[in-house]
Amino acid sequence: MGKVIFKPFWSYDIVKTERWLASMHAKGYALERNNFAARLFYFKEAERADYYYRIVYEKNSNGNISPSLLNGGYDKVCWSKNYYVLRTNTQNPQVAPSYIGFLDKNRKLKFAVGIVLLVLICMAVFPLLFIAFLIVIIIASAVSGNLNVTSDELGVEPSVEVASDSIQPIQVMGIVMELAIVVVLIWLIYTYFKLRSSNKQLSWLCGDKLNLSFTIPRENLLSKAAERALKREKKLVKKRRLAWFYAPDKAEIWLEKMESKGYNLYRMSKIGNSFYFIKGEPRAVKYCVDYQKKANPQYFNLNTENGWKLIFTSISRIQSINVWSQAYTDTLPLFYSDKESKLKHAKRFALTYSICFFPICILYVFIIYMNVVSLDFNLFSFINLIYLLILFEFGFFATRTILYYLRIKNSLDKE
Amino acid sequence: MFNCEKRITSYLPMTETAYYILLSLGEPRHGYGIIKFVEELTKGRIKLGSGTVYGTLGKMSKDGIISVFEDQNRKTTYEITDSGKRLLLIEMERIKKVYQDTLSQEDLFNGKSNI
Repeated sequence: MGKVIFKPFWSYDIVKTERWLASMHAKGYALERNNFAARLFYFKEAERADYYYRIVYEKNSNGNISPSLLNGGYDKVCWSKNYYVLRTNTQNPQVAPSYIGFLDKNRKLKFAVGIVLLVLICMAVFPLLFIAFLIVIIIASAVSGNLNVTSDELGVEPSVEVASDSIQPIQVMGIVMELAIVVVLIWLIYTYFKLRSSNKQLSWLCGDKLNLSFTIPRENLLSKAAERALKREKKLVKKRRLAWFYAPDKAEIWLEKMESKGYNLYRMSKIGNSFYFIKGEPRAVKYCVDYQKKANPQYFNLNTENGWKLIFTSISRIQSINVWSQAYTDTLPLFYSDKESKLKHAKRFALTYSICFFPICILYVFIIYMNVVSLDFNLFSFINLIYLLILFEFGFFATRTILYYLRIKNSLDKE
Repeated sequence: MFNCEKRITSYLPMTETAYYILLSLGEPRHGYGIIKFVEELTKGRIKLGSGTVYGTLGKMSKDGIISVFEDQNRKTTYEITDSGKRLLLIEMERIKKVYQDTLSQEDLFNGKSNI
């Protein structure tokens, strides 16, 4: 007799799922096939044996498994369009499938869930703040005696007629809706925290060698005492730049100019708005401010092997901003070696930020318009000024990224 | 299958970078191994940037042109797939024709022609 097991969250902790498959085989149930979409695992009875299972996510693989893995002692168990399952009974196989597919996929999922949660929190917190604000005002005015309202004065009837005993369908709908919202919220929070811990493990398994203090590589940091000493000798220069990464090319040129003047960048601040230089010798250093939709361990390893030194990386590995540097003597090192990839990269950067920011701008134009027209607020009232500020800020960022793209395009056309 | 063909034709004709990256995968290689191999093969003519290589490899593995696995040192290694081989062979045929046509016409331009 076989077994069918439903595992709704099997992909959240892939290493655990693989161990579970191995333990099932040890109990005499060998995996026969999967229905990944329905999250169903079909087992058939088999001889008890020690097998290692590996589930691989590889887009458009369609069961075409690399010959190196099949030659390395792995057997194909089952496959679908983007997944396949392998097993081996060798203890230490020479080759192994990579977790990189799952890492990229789960990071993307965590990023999306994180944004939804953030929006939900904002939506929940702001009305609460507003209510708290109202309560404070009411209490304050009640205490000062300006407001003395009782139910009599307002003419509120003391009791309302009680509804009939039978439960109305509308009430059931309401309860179901509320339950659904709670379930979805719990699912989102569970997904976020589960993925956060399992992604860390996957990232390590994929060869993540980053040793970061928040966003700064630890090797770039000087001790507090050393920094103080440099400051006393007036050798340390700190420069603050806001929103520099919306114009990556300008930031690169500025940093290279600073180096040629003898200001050697040694680190950035943790939130990435300040640059710390040591006054030293003029150097020829190429800088690269790089945006990546996804920056996985291969990205960091490949660039490091190719001679680039990491200065800064954003907290998120999805939509990540990175600063790289490389000192050189005669030939200029290139992060992007051909026109196509340089232009494509600039286009993706400009497109992503304008798609994110322009709708926000339109939303704020709409809010200000509604305030002025429907609520009769003065255009330059306090609240509208704040909205205008936000509007200009986002508009400015988005415009800068588009100007960056146009500059890159022009410079490549001229070449 | 149709999708697969469509993905392949979207690469044609290939950029020099994409072509040399696939050409280097006659045997499985690491990302940095690809950069080194291409530099040696072209005698320093092409030095691929790591950003370019990372972007291209990411796109190729998404399209099923290459696949990844880990070698005995747990380093990510890239390997060409069957669709990748098909793509490379189509492109090689095209480049061979371009080369033959180039040779047959070259003399008309460099002053060595007898006409």
